[in-house]
Amino acid sequence: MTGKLGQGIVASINYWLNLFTFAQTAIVDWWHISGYANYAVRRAIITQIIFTGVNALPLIILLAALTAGGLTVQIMTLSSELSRELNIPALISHLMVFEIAPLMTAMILISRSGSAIVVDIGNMKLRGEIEGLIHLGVDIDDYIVAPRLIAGMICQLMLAIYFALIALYGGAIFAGLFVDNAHLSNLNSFFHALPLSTLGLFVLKNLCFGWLICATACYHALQIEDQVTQLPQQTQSVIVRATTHVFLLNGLFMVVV
Amino acid sequence: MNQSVAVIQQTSNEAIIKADSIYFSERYTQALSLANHAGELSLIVGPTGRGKTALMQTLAGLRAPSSGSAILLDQNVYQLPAKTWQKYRQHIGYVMPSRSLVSHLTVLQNVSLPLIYHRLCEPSKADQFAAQLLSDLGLSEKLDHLPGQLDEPQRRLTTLARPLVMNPVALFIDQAFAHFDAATRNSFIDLYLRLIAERNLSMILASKDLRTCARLAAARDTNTQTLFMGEDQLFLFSDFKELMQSDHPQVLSFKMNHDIQ
Repeated sequence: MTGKLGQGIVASINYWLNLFTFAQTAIVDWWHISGYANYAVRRAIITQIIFTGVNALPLIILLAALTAGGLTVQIMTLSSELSRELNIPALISHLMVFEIAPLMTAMILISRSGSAIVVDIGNMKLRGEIEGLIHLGVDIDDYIVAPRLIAGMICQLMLAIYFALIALYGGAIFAGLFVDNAHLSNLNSFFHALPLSTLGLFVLKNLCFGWLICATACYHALQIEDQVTQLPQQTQSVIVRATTHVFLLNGLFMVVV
Repeated sequence: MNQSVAVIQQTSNEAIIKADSIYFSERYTQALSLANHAGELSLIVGPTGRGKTALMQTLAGLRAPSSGSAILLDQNVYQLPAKTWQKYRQHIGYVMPSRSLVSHLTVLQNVSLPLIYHRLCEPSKADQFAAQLLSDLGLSEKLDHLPGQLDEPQRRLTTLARPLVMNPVALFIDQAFAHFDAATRNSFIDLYLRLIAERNLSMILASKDLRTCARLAAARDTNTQTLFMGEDQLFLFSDFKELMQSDHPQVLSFKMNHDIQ
């Protein structure tokens, strides 16, 4: 039992180290080989941003509005009934900005882009497209992996900002219109209720989430060798592992904060 | 574009592609040495599963041999620093089977990609160069098509155009006639010969199709160095005719499979 646990821990540490090295190498290679000056890589980054970020926007807006109508309104109403001394804007903005928005956005990113990245790169590998690019002297870290990592980081941050704004201000407007007019006064307080350090951590947390999700997806996709059956296996693995990674990292942020 | 390589080609009498006592497969215990100069064609023939692709990749600097040296453009490729090798790679074309095209890029984007990625010219110029080359290859009406919308010969032409657009000095073509009908095979023979003549290319071509290789060799005025990959032996001939005249049992067996006596 202890032996198995030990093996599991060693395997996990090994996996994390491999994943971290893989993601770090991709970014370093991109920086050294292309940077932002290479048009082909820049085009790949923009394509990924459109897919990961722009196309996911309607879904994020819908979920944020639902969260505003459900969660934010309930928290505002309940907390004001429980205690008049509670700093409701601070409580809600911290909860939404620092916890719910990054996590919800990360879940969307995992289910939507994480799985798509595995299928996309996995198929490219199975069809020999990756090998073809290598034969042309195209660096895979630079042209395939790094654009997805960069786009993942940018999109996770931007989508989380949209989510947080809609969930916060939408919730206050819903609560003001349908529950109590007094809640509308919170509209001005949300932004001031957040210290700059929390906003900084929000940015850092989302960049880390985006990087981790896309790194996990690319890492697993490139593990696919020549069996088509590996594709669904790796896709499933990415969804499970990326979700676990995000919650672990979220826990780490909680401990640090 | 590629002026430095043009200089290498004009001033150097050294072989463009050279293998010096390489061991590349457990199947063969012999070391292989061969050389291919500018404007020369070498053929690698043998049945499926004998390691033709492994050898091509070893010679092209894509797969390190167990021992020995693969030399391209006077450089031992497996001893070059990664960055220098990246630069050299632009001058060495390797044509894989046709499914290696990026499926979500159009024909034009697939061909202009190496030019843009290696920053050999401006993106707009890259598109012009790629479109010109594709027109020369008879694909001018397919520029905006995706690889999935092309037939097999058109895909192969696009695959061939990708390294060609970078003006390579050496070209490796794997499975050179696979999945083609007789008429297409003939048109590709003409194309390969035209490329060698017009571009002074050093070309190595692998195929299991002995008959088509024979037609290709016969269409040339000069000798065609030929490597036959037997069951457990390598046979290097200075000309294709020597392969056809060989009465070694391994060669005979391969010829019989092609109904050639």
